[in-house]
Amino acid sequence: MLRHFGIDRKAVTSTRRSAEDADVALIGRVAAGDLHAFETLFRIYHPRLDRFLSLMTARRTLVEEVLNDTMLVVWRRSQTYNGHSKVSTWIFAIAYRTALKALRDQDEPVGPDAADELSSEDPGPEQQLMADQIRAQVFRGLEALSAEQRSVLVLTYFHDLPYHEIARIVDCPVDTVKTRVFHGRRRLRALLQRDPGAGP
Amino acid sequence: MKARILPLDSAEHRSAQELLPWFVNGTLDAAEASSVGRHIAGCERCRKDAAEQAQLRESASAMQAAGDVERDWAVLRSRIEADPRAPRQREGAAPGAWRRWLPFTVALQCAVILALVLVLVAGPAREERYRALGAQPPGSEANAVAVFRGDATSEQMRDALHAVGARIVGGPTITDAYLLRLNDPTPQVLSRLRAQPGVLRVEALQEEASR
Repeated sequence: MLRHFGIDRKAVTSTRRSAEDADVALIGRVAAGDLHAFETLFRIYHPRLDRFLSLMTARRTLVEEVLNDTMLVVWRRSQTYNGHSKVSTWIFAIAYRTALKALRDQDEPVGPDAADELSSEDPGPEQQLMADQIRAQVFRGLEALSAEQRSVLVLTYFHDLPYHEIARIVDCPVDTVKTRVFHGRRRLRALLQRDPGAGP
Repeated sequence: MKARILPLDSAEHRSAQELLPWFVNGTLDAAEASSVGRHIAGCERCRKDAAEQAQLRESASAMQAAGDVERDWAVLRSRIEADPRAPRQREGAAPGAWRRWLPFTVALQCAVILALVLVLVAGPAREERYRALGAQPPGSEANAVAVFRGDATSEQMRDALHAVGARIVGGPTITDAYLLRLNDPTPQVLSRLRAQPGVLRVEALQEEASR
């Protein structure tokens, strides 16, 4: 049944495990002050954090700032990583807290620039254009949610994280994560149905 | 005739609904995945939901990160290099050891600076001056003492001295203090020197400061 949704569990598990081993080795070297290892870790996590923070904050300038602050914390506090969670969970938890703080400090409603950026991509073939439009609608819908609701949806659907890891990242019980995702996706569906750009 | 009613509000259905997002992203454990899979096979609503969620997941798959990794790395690296907290603390045997010793080191530096000031001010300067083979020529006496930060670069030290018209006439002492000769050792100039990057502490030698 999973294959029906394009998921090969064994392949996913195996790839994840080797990536986790590599992460643990890297963070050990970073904790010993190896700047080269830190650069490697930065380059691995940059695109993932960029995507997560783009959707969570929806502000390009904030994304860069939060991403930078997150990785500076990783560098400074790598010695405190204790192996109780995956390195990715630890890093995303730092990013989540940093982003929430940045959003609260800004105290501004989340703007539409992330969706605009996506919808203004160069038009490609018709199929690509349609995919871009759907994506833009999804991102517009996500922006209407609260940062807490948005982040669990993003971590679930766009980062393929298991619910117990998401619970660690956002620091709340597993049941809260399940409830947030459940209500978040219902709200997102309702928003997408109301989106004037969603209809044919 | 009995109609087959789909138990939409059953515990199994509710549980499947809750777990669907992780069924779709493939992160449920084998038992959960199998249970949800069995339910989906007989529940059209959950099948439809799962397909919808798979589409949502697909919508982000082509999303490219918009950030510039090279530029962001350059910014972060410069922050790291300017950050005294990160790499240096790892050079010692124990993490955080320098933090525990920092107050004592600074206190020791201050005590030595004070002692230097007292020796230079209260000591029999003129007689002593003639005894040293490497005695400084007139006009080269120190009129300030400075301590630079441990991570100060030579460029920062040079720029700081240039900025106030100072030169090093002695040191470093055992506590890395330098004796300086300032052209204009006024409190304003000393304050300017204190404000320079890389400068930890500056004290005027009383003889000069009282001019």
